[in-house]
Amino acid sequence: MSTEQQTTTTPSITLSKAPISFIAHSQNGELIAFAVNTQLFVYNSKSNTFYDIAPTDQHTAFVRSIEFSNHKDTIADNGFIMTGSSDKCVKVWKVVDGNKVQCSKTLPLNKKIICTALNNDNDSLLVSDKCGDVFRYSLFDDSKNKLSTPNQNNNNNNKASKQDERESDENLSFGHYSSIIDLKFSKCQNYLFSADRDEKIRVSKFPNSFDIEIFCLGHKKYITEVLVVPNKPELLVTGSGDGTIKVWNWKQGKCLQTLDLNDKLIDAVTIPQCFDEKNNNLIVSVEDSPNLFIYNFDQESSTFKSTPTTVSLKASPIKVSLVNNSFLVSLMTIEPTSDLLVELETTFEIRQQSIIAESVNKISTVSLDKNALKTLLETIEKKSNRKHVSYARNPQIHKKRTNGGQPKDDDEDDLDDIPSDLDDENTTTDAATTAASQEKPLKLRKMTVEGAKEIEQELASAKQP
Amino acid sequence: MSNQVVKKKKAIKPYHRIKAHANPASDYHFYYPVSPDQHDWSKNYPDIIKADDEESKKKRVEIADVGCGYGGLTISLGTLFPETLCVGMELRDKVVQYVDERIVKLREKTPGSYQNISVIRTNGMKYLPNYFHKGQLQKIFFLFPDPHFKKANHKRRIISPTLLSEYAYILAPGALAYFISDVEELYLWMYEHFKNHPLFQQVERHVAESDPCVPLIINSSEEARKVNRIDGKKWYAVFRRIEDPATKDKSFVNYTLTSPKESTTTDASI
Ligand SMILES: C[S@@+](CC[C@H](N)C(=O)[O-])C[C@H]1O[C@@H](n2cnc3c(N)ncnc32)[C@H](O)[C@@H]1O
Repeated sequence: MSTEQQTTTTPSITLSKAPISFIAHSQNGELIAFAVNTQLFVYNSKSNTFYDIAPTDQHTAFVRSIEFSNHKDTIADNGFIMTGSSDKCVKVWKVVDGNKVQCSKTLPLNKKIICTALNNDNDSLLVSDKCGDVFRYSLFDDSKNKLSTPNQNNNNNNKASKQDERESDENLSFGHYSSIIDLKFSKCQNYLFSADRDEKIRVSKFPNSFDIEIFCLGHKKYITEVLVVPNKPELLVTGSGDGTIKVWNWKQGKCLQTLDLNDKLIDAVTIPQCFDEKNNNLIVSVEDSPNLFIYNFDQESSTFKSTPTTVSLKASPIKVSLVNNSFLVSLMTIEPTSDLLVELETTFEIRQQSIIAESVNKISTVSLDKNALKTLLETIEKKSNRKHVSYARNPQIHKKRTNGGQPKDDDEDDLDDIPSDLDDENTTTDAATTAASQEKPLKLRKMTVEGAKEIEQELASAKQP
Repeated sequence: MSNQVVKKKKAIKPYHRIKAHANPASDYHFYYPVSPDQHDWSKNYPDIIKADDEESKKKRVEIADVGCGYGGLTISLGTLFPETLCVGMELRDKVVQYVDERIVKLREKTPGSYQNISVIRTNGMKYLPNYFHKGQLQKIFFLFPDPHFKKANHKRRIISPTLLSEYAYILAPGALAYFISDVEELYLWMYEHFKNHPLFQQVERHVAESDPCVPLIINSSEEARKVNRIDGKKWYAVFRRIEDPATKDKSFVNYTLTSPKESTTTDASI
């Protein structure tokens, strides 16, 4: 299991750097925001300085997402920044007095936020929780939001009352039966992509998200990331634990191309990072690999060239963001002396005197104990939301049954199966497993042949006249 | 009839312990196709769909019985709609095995018949889009689903606002969804959720009552018979998949009740 691997690779040091888990930027590239564990950093690329953020404004748990408002009315003043965190809050941030970034609003959602998507209307915010439900909130009109009170937030660990909340939640927009790993809007904003820990990518209409347009099915393991390519809005690029990148015509749910990295790496987990529109390059990273894989889009054939160029880095990249004509790459590193961020030219040479990388690499080291660090690293990779194995490509099990061989006696085995998504509400897997198995009633049902006999007689008599 | 041979061949419901409920939220390790086109339906309907005959592959399943249990409804539907492919979907492996054998025996007994029915082991709450294309189904059935009384387990119920979107997706506009329960609380739950979903509209009572599927949902499944034996009540409703939520009529408030007295089934000992 991946948790164990993680333990062995994590050195038992307490003072280390926390990697940058998220990078986002304003549309004009002036503001660049970074998430480091629980903290938000905002950098001004014109003045090459960080904005001041009051420590009391910061989230109290891991920052899961950063989004810049992209409505045309707000671009002039750089709009606002929105962050979602494991502390179950969404915050809205604004630049004030020229050198400060202030939290102007906190929405307590009382849900473990897995991912968010901000609509261009500058107000609709979608949030997916651990159970695969997606809620829609208004950033600025609180009358549309059902928010939790702080005491509910802390004391309510009772499953039944949690369920009560879920059922009465007017903000529920749609949901998957599995945890949603990524949520993105189409360029036109009228569709929504949601990808889950099974293998599904769902395309829903927006705002009528109860109406599913299509599913993009083809991946054989969990999805890692959904990438919308702005200058090719009809395409969708996805990564997966199955080691491939798939390119879709999402409107038709059709897979146009599969870029397979399995021949280069064993058990590759692919992440499409960004698309360089000028040079038509798709940048892909692979979990635990220090390489970036660059796929060039051939305009003539309208497909990606199947052989990537490889770029080697010092550590495995977490996020790659194209800002102001260069790539900012955050690295999975915890050594106090190593770099958290490198800047690459669009030709992929490392920029030697990078002002931004130097500034970012100076930001304070955080002290974390071994466990906190381990959790952080796992959270960064969203590992907890993944299913370890998928059996979609193992029809052996099915064959066994249909060929009349001994069936797998797994009705009973199910009892100590992997915990359900629902039970994930308790963060620790062990607790969830025991809770689930205690609850399951093991009833015995008397089986008789009468029912079948009766029906057969009836069917026989129905056939006679 | 040659009872001896038939008797020997008759599928026997397993006497071993079978869990009465399965947890749909678990990750069961069974096969499911990556996408509808990847499933080889010729294994399910060998007389109708041939792996090497592209034309025959155009024939698609149009009726699904979700949580089919021992298959009573699936089999009756196959007889009622002999030209339509019908599939029962069930999560518990042993139950699926039983239905599978039952269908094999029926096919052997009456050659040429029961070719249009089959059973699949799957989780209806997760994998229907893996088996069916958008708008593929004409009818979907949810008969006597597990009630999951505990509040904390309500998300395991097979009808919920979020799952209804998925069911709406695989149903053709105008297609029908049927559900029935002997648990009033669960019935009301399902009814409310269907009523509130923008893509479903209740079928008028008189239309539902003349639907030939309605007698089947009331009496043909094993669970229905069990309820009859204990003289229990049943509640059902039929909803239509509509295309444009703007046309949704919100005026329906009544629901339909049936009691075994209306039914014609004979009493059987337990
Ligand atoms: C109470 S039985 C009713 C069976 C049948 N419909 C009848 O009327 O006789 C409910 C059945 O649904 C099955 N089931 C429960 N959850 C399911 C799921 N998510 N997918 C498929 N089957 C499911 C159970 O295993 C059980 O056999």
